[in-house]
Amino acid sequence: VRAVVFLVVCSSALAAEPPASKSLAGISREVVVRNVTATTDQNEWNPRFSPDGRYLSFERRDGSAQAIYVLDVDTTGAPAVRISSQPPRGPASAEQALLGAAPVDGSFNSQIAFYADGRFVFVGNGGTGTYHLYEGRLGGPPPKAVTADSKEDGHPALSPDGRWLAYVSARGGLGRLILRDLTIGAERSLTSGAKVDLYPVWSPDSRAIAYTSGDNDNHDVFLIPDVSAAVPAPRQLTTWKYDDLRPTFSPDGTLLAFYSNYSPTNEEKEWSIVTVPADGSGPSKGAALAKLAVAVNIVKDPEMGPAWLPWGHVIAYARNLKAEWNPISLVDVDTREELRLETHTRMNHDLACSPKGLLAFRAQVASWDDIFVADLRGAH
Amino acid sequence: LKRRPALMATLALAAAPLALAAVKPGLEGAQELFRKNHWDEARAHLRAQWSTLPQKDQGAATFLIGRSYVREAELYRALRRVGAEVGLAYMGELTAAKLSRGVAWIPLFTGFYQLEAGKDREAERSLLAVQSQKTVPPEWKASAQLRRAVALYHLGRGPEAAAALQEPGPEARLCRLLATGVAEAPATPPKGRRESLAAAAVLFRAGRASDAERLLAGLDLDAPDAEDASDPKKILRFHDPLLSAAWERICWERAVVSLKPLAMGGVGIEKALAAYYAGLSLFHLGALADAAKLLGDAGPALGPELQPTARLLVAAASWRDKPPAAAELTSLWDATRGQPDAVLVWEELAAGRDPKTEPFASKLDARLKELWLSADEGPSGALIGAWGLARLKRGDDPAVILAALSVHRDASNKNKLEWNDPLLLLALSTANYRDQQYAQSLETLFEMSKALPGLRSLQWNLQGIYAARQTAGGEARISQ
Repeated sequence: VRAVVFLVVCSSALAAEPPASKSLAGISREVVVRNVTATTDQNEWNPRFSPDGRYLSFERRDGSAQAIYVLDVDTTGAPAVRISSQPPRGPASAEQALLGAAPVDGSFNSQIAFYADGRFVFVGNGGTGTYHLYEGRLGGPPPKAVTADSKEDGHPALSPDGRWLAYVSARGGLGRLILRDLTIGAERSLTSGAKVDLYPVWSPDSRAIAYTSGDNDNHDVFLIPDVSAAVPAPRQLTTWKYDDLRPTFSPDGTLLAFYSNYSPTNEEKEWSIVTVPADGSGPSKGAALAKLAVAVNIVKDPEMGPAWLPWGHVIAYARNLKAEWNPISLVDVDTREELRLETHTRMNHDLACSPKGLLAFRAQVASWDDIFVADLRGAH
Repeated sequence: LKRRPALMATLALAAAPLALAAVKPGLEGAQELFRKNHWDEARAHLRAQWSTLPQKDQGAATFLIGRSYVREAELYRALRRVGAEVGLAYMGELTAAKLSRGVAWIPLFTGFYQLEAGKDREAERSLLAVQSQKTVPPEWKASAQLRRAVALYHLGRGPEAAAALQEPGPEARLCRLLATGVAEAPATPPKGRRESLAAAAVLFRAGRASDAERLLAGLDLDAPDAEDASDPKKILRFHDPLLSAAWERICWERAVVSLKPLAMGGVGIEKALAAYYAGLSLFHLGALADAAKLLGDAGPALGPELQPTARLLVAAASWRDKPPAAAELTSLWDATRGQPDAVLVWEELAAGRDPKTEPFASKLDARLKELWLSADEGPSGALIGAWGLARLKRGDDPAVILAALSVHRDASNKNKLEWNDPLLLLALSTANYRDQQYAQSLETLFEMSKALPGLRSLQWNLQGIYAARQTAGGEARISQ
C-alpha cells in the first residue's frame, strides 16, 4: 500500500513539475511581465518585433491619426519613436497654435515590417483616402510612399534575406499578391485568381510565401513554394468548409500554423490553431486535417497570425476563456504538451514572439489596453 | 480598522479622473487637458498655478479658460435641444401609460418641454390647463404661470405676459430675461438649488459675476426637480428644462467674463480671437450690440476660417433693428460658401426661424450636405458633431447620419471623451436614439457623464423611453 501511495504521490508531483517537452522545459509558468506602454488613457495594439528582436512596434490612436510606435526593447526607458505617413506640419490655424494643438496628423498607419538594418515598410494613407506602402528608417527623414501609382496597397512582408517585398494591392480591382525585387525594383503579380489574396508571409529561407485567399464566406491557406519560379504556382493547402486565416511559418520552416474556425465541438464562434507541413504534403480537409488542430477555443489575432517561439515547434496563444481573462498558453506542436503561463494580466491577445524569445502581447489595465512583454527564454 | 485609511486612499485614487494622472505643469498641461476635453480640469489646473505662470503664457492661458467655457456653452446648447426632444417624447410615453395618468407632474413638465422645444402655442395651452389641476403644488403653478408668460411673449402677446414677468423672484427674473432680454437682479435671495441657478444666470447679465459665482459653488446640476413615488416600484423623476437654459447662459457668461479683458487689452491674434469668442458668446446671450462691436473689432485680424462667420454674425446682430437688403444677404451667402463654421451659423439662424434667412432655406440643405467636400483639413470632431445634430434636426435618416459620424469616431476608443469630441459623441448618441438603438445611445451618454455634469436629465428621460418602447429596456438602469 505504501508503494502505491508513494507512486501516486510521485506521479502527482511529476504533474506539477516542468513539462517533459524539451521545447517547453526550462520555461517558468510564473512569468515576469513588463508593461512597455503603460499609458493611462490610450489603447495600444498589434505588437510586432524586428527580425533581430531589438525593436518592438505597436499601434496607437493619436489624435485624429493612427500612428505606429517603435520601442528599443534592449534599452530600458528609451522613448518610443513615432512613425506616420503624414509629414510633420504646423497647427491648422492660429487658434490651434494658441491652444497648443499638436501638429495635425490625420493619417492612418499600420502593419509595419522591418528590414534587418533599421529600415521599415508600412501601410499608410498620408492623411488621404488611398493606402500605399511607405518606407522609412528609424531616426531618418519622414517616410516616403514607395507604391505611389497603385490604388490600395497593404500587408507588406519583407523576405528574411532582404531581397523581396511581397504585398497586397487592389490596383486591379481585387486584392492580389505583388512581388517586388528590391535589388532592381521590378515588380510582378504572384497571384491572379478570382478571389482576394491576403496576409502574405515568408518562409525562413526566403523562397516560399504562404497566404490566405478567399471571399466573405470562406478563406483557405495557399502556398507558393518558389517565388523566383518563372510562373509562380500557388498550391491550395486547405480545401474544407472552414475559414482559414493568417498562416505563419515555424522558425525552421517545416510547419505552417494558421487560424481556423474549425472547432471539435462544432461551436461556430470558436477558433482553433491548425498546423500543416509547409511543403504541402499534409491533408487539406476532413478528419485528417482536424487532427492537426493543436489548440482549440483560442483568441485569434488576424493582424499577425499564430506566434511561434524561436526554438522547437512551440506556439504561444491566448485561450478564449473570458472568465479567466484569456490566459496565455504554450503548446508544443510535436508532443501536444501544453504549458499555461501565469502572467497576471487581463484579456490577453495580439501575441507576437521575438527571435530572442521575448513574448509581446496586449492586455487590459483598467479599461485601456497596454502592450506587455515577457521573457520566455529560461533555459533556452 | 487600520486598513480603512489605506482602503479609502486607494478608492480615492481610483476615483480620480484619469486625465489628471500625468498632467504636465503650466500652460502645456492645461492645453493637454483641453485637447482631451477635460475643460473644467484644464481651468482648475491653470488657476491653481496662475501665480507661477510665466507672463508670456498668461494671454494664451486666459484664452484657453474662455475658450473652454465657449466649448461648454456650445455643448450645453446642443444638449438642451436634444434634451427638449427627448424630454417631450418621454412625457408622451408617460401620458400614454395608464399607470402614470394620475401624476400631476406629467402635464406640467410636458408644458415645460413644449416651451423648451419652441412649441409655444402648445406650451401656452398646456401651462394654462395646469392652473386648474388641484394636485399641482402652488409653487409649481407659479412656475407654470411664468413659463406661460414666456410662451405668450414669444407668440407676440407681450401685454398678457407683462404682469407675471414683473414678479421679483429669481425664476421670474430669469423668465423675464429669456423673454425680453432685460436683466434685473432678483429682489429676493434665492432659496435652494433651482433658484440659485436662475438667480446666477440673471446676476451675470446684470454685471454681478462675483455674486453669481458665489451662488454656483457646489451646485448639483443633475438632481431631479420633482419626484413621484406613488408607485414605489416605479419612481418617476422630472428635470426642469429651465435650469438647462440657465446653465447654458451661465457658460456663455463665464466665457464673456474670461475673454472680454483679453479682447480689450490683449494684443495680436490673442486679442482678435478673444474678441471673436466673446462676441459669439454675447450673440448667444442676446446682447447683440455688444456682440457686433466685439466681432467687428476682431474681424480684420482673424484667420480666413473665422472671418466669414464673424461677418455673418455681425450682420445678423443688426437684423432685428435694421432688416438687411437683398444684396447684402446675397453677398453674405456667397462669402460663406464652403466655410463649415459659417454654414452652421446659417443653420442656427434658420432654425431660429429668422425670416431674413428664408431666401436661403432650400439652398442651405445642399450646403450642409456638401459641407466637407470643400474642407482642406479634416474637420474637427466639434464641427462634425454640430453638423450631425443639424442634419438630424432636419429629419435626415439617422442610420445615414450615424454612418457618417462613425467615420470620425475613434474606433479604438469608441466612447472615450478624451479621444472623441463631446459634440460628436452627443450627435452619435442622438442618432442612436433616433434609430431606436437606445442601449447604445445611453452607453455613450454614460461615458460623457463621467466628466460632464448636467446630463442626468437626458439620461433619465431616454431610459424612460427605452423602458416604455422596448421590453428589455426595463433592465437598463443608470445610477440615480
